[in-house]
Amino acid sequence: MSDAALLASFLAAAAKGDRGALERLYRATAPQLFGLAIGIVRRRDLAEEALQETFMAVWRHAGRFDPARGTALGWMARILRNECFDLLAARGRETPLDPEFAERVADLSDGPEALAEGGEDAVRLKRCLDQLEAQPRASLLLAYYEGLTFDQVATRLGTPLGTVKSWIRRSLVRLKGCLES
Amino acid sequence: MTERDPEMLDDMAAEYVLGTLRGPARQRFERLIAGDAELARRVEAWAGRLGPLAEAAPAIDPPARVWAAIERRLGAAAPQRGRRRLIQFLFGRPTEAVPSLATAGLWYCVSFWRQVGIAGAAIALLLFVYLFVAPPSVPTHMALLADAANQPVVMVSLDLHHDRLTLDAARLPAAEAGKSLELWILPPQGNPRSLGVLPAGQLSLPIDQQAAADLAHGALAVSLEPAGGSPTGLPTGPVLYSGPVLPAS
Repeated sequence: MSDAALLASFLAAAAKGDRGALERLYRATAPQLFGLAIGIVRRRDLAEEALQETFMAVWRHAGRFDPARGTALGWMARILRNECFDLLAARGRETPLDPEFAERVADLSDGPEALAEGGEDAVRLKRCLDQLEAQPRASLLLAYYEGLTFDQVATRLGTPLGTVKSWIRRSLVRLKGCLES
Repeated sequence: MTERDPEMLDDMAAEYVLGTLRGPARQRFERLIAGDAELARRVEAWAGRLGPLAEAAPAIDPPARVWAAIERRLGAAAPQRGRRRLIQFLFGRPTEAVPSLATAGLWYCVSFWRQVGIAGAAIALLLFVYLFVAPPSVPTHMALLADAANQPVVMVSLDLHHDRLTLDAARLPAAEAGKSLELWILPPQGNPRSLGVLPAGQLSLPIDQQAAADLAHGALAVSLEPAGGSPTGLPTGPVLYSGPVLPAS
């Protein structure tokens, strides 16, 4: 992962109309965002569409990014995931994962190890995730990385809906407490 | 939103960011955020908390066509500032509160549009002068207005095809102080009808179809009236000049 400050500087330059900075931002983040999109929409064409729409939105709204409130990648991922949710809402979900990605889209529900190599925020988040119990943490991560709803997580884990809801809600509260401590 | 439980709001903000809040509920929540700064702040806080998760997403290279499509939509290749493409020059969004050409496209440049506005007003004024003051190119009828001694004083041009009357009032002796000269149609039958008080210089005024029809077989007259024109709608003062309308050719 590139240096967060560098990405933030690309965003700041893009906000001033620097297309070269947008391209550098794309080169630095597109693979990660594309991987994130594949995990959620499960299909190459939809993921490409989400990525394209995301960068158009990043270009339009780059000026709204505030480095004090989070990382540039996190900000872009939020836009991307919203694009993915819109695509899923329009086209329905539960498409099986495009087989070409089967090997590369890892199951992150055990805990995303890569966070340990990320920035300061990522390392702290990983430490807090590690404090959660396995199943509640898996539920939360399935919701994030695969864009699953409560229902879908419940089906995937073969767990009652109410249990999944309380796992995820409790995990969120605990994460917040841990991050603010 | 103040009557709602803040903990519940925070839960919803978290679920919104996580993505488990979906469908119509998600859209409703987005509308709530738009109108509730406190809720928006909670959402931002959660986005900051969960944002780093993106760093662990698997990296998969997207095909080159994705960037190509983005580039096409941005309006093609000029990566440097100062060499911004036309579309950016014209429509680039402002990045400062008071956009200038350095930071925003022409579309957002208030100073530029201000100048366009002034220029537009000037052009409109010129057009107005041209259309309403300039003489018609092809008069269809003429009227030679003569004074009481039957001396010709001024020529009136009429373009009855285009319903326009032109005369050079500068050729008329000025009305005495506190008085106005008023122009009248004298139809073949019926009362005179006012065409208004004569201004000092060139006059080119549109006339309606009825006036054009009356003029084709009628006459024109100028009377001396109180300042601002006849108070009655009919000539009240002496008719100073008059003459029949005749075909121009």
